[in-house]
Amino acid sequence: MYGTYDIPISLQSEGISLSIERRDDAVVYRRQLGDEKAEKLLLGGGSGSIVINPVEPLNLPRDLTPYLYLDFQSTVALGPKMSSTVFVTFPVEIGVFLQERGEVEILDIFTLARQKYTLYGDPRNGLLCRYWSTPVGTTAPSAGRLHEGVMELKLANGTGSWVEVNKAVFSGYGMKLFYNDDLVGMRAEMEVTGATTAQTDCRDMPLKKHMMKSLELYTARKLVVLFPKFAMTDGI
Amino acid sequence: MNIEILKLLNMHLYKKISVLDMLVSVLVVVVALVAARLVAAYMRRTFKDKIRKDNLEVAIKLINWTIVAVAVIYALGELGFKFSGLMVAGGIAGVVIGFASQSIVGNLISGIFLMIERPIKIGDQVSINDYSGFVEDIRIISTTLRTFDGLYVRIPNEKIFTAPIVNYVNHIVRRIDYTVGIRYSDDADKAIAVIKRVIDEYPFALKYPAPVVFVETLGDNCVNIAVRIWAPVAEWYGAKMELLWRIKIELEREGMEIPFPQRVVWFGNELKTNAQVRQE
Repeated sequence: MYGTYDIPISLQSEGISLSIERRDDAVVYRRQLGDEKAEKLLLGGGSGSIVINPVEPLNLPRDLTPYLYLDFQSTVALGPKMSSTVFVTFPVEIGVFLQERGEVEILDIFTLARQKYTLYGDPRNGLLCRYWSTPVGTTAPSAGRLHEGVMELKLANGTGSWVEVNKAVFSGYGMKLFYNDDLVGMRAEMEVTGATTAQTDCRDMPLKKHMMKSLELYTARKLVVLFPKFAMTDGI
Repeated sequence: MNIEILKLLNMHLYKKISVLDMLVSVLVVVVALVAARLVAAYMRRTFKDKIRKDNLEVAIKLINWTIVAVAVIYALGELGFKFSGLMVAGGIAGVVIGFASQSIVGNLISGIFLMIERPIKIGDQVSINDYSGFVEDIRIISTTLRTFDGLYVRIPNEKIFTAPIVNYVNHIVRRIDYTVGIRYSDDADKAIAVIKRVIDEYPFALKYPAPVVFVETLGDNCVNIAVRIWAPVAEWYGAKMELLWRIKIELEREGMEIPFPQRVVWFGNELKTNAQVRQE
């Protein structure tokens, strides 16, 4: 389903039905996923192309937070001054863009992934995050690319003692997603700075060679990205 | 004609204040008011999506008042008003004005402290002095609310400053509390598992702080199960409305019922009835 298409298109995959067709001087976009339907009438468009790619998983069911909370299903213990790479998964949202005359417009966002929120920190000062429970392993897990992506996470322990890592929180402003025919991938780093503190960052590098870079939603929205890194101060 | 206009402009209205001085002063104030409005409109348009609404409104007010104050001071100077004279006149005038405007000054100072302390912000859902609603504006003298049923309420800042304020959206999350009653014949463990499953499937029921579901009391008619769920404050009301119904439907699907109030009556003697059965 991911890729660049010329109008008109009609796609069906894993319960998703998506079509874009010309009607008189307008373009009609339709999408159905289960009981959920979306329809848009585009006036003044139609000469451009449609891009469908995975986007930062922070928009659904509501645009409540720019933070993603990955809850590790097993604890990772890391030795003093050690660094290691693990693989985790993250939820994927699918973005449909209209690309025309150098301008990118978001048409629709939908997801097959489970939607859940959580609080990182306490109710008074905590941070609302999109929640995702993930297995942790030293090899890349198999993941349905319309549902979830694979993150290569480089863990570095900057402290002089053993640390246990149970979760990671990332800022959506720095996420760089890549995709190919098999998977959606992302690279990230987590530097542990204390027993309960760490700094996370996403890297602008594909997981494998020849992967396509996703159009970023925050770029499409023309937001200025100021803080791509995230400081975890309420536990790791 | 021109000479007549010049004469008119130079005509003294009061002591050394001419018509021209008066016109210049009025013009300066009018231009300042217009400029303040234009600056406010420009700031709203430019910073609408970049600065939080409440911060933006405070900044706009501050700039507006500064522009107007500078213009008024300049205009008074043009009219020959000497501010050093205030030092002398201020003593007597201050007492008179002080008594006359006691409540206004009280409201003004309260308004300034409200803007500094910021227990409420524009757009917040609050409850103050028996009024609940959205904060529409925080002005220098009063604060306006739009109640949940759409009424306009103006509250003097002095009353807000001294009243207990409940801000429903000050924290990012808020708890939802339910009590769900099931029959004594129903399996409470199963009911708890069903309720936990419903909560887990609902996106706005937060994973952490973890929801809590437990048998709270053994009531007259039912076993009461307490349900405590945390939700994002922006989705709290919708979640509160939706989740309870989902829990009810799922419990009934699993064969459990929320019982009606009932009372078992025991008779001391055998109950005698006088019933006739009519046979066709």
